[in-house]
Amino acid sequence: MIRGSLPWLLRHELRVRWRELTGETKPSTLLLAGIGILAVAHMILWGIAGSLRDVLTTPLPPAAVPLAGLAVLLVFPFGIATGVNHAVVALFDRGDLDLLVSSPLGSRIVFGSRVVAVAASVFVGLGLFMLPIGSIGLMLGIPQLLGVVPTLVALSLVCASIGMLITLLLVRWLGPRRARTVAQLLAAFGGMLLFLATQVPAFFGDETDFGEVIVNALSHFQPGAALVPDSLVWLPFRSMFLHPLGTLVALAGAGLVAWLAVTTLHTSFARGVGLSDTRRARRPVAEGHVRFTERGAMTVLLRKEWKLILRDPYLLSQVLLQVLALVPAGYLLFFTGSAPLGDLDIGPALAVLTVVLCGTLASALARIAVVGEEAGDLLASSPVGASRVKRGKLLASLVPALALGVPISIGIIFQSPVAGVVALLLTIVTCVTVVLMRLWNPVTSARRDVFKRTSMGDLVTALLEGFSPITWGIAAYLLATGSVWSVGFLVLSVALFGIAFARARARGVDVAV
Amino acid sequence: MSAPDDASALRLTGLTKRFGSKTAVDDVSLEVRRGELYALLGPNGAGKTTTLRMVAGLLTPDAGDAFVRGHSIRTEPTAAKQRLAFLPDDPLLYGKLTALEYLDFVAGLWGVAADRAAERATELLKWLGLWENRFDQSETFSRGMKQKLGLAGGLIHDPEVMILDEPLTGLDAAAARDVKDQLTDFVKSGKTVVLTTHIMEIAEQMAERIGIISGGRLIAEGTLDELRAASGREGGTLESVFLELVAQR
Repeated sequence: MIRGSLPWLLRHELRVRWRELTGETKPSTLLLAGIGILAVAHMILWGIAGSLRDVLTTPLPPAAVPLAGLAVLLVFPFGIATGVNHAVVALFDRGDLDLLVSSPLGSRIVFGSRVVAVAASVFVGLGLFMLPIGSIGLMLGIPQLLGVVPTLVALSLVCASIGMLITLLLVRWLGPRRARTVAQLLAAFGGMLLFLATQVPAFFGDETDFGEVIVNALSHFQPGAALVPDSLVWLPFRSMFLHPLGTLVALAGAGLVAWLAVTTLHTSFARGVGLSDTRRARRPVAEGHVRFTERGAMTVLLRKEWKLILRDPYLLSQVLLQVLALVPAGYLLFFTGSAPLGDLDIGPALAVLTVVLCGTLASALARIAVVGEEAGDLLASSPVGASRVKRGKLLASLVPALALGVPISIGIIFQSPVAGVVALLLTIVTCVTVVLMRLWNPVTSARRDVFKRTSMGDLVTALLEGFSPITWGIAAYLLATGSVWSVGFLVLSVALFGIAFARARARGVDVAV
Repeated sequence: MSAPDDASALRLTGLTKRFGSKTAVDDVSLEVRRGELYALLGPNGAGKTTTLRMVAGLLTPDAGDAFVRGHSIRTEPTAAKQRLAFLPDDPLLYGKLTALEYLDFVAGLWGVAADRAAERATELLKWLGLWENRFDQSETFSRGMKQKLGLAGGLIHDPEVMILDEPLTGLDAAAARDVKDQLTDFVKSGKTVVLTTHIMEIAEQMAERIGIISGGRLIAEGTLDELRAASGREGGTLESVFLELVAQR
């Protein structure tokens, strides 16, 4: 391999990416997680393929091509969001671009290697969900579905190229930090959309034959309709079925897009590297008197915590992501087994949602306040006692979560008094317990790493903290529905809290607040 | 409270700290008088920072005590901390707070009245050349500006004793001179500074007395002349004296 060539630099990129991955997570854990995701993807796709078996007979009906095209288009936004996310990391997080750009290597090679590396990351991300289509195709006797591999290659290249374009534009408009935040939110929304898309069959309920729905939809592609399957529009998507010309067009088209991206963007990229300094332009400062307001130490502490959170869009986005992660769970709660919303007792369902949502929010805020404390030594060397500082952090995390949870719970009381009271009480208990658990697990790290696994501290306590809102939430649901099982979950939740307390004591942590 | 001694700013008595089987600080006793600049020198890992962190109340001693103006850091931490400022080599700042907000926050922690804090913040920011940057978040500051803001934070409550751990690390020549001048002014006003440094010239020029710590123990203490005499290197530089004393141990 020629040193300084694109493949050489690409090998370096992939090696660094792998080290980053395995630096945070053990390779065996990654492998297990990958196998797990593939297994789940196989199961979901097997269910969908089962209902589409009649449609996907060999030879494939012409309408299968537009169907595949629509499926690829459905995945496209998620792919681009993933591309943007990886592009931000590749361009601004790794911190090696100054070295590369200052080297004699051309910016085209440096940028090209980043595009291909991002495409590889997108390939892995999408592949976990898409590659099982090929293996299921083999099982169903439809080997043409192995065309998912070249399609995925093409899709990854296109998504990486567009991701790079969007990232460079975002960086130019918003600066690297905000671009990073927006990119992560895009990826989260993309993931959520993809999840909801996989749940489309459930929306139709048990009585609906999903296969029939698809066949009806495909009638729009019958001869005489606007987008007939033979249309050239669908040609690249024929790669999904290993159609030789379609595959060639898809790969060549994707290669062309990537080449165009590298050719047109590499100079902007080289200039963009210098944008990593986000200092704002100095504004003229007027003379004037400084005025401070008289405040007690607790108010000072609370204002500091909230000001720091509100001024950090990255942390805000991470809190939002934590809450967004509940959407699939919330969806499953309301729609499991295609339960029609009309039959659902909305009170208990809202109670569990409130408890889990507020518990998760309080937990996320506590992580920022405790783990992200930038000047712990300043607080510790101040005359304000450690207990007061801890109470400040407790309140800073609790108040926003309860400001959300209490009004919702009161609203539920009007709809369903028992469920509302349960929601109110358990929301308060959940928020207090999760925040205390975090205070008893006092690690600190850079604020940007607050939500990384490496910033969890004592792993068992962190897991207890993570599970606690869920067990309290289940207890809330069971209590609201009058189930005797609620006692079991209440005991379990208290036990989790007790274990966290005992572990903190055993580690010599000062548990007093 | 220990026996009051108006001349004593800081007194350490048998201060000891162990981390597992390793004794990081071993029975260190010393006294720093009011209006004195005292430098604590030692090789890497000698126990300087651990000693200062115990004095600042960040680490609990396994034995011994530290008294700030007669107040024990163990039994009267609030009174002791009220009179103390601690500045580590990496300033204790919040990146998303502006310079003024940071000083308002620190003043709030030390219970400084709002009017007095505002007046003091104005003085300090102008003195340290940060007035034009008072509305800027400290994450946009250079290393030297951060160090100066940390110093302003340390001074906002008008402490009697200032503890600085490697205060000149990473500063350029101009910023280092500014900080040195500010510390000299502080001492001239009757306050006390205890600092660690690995730059011998700083200790040689600024410190009235120097303590040398090695392997967790205070192996020598005194003025430069006293240390020269102890090392047998009359007329030697502090660097040669320091190396000799550490080697003798």
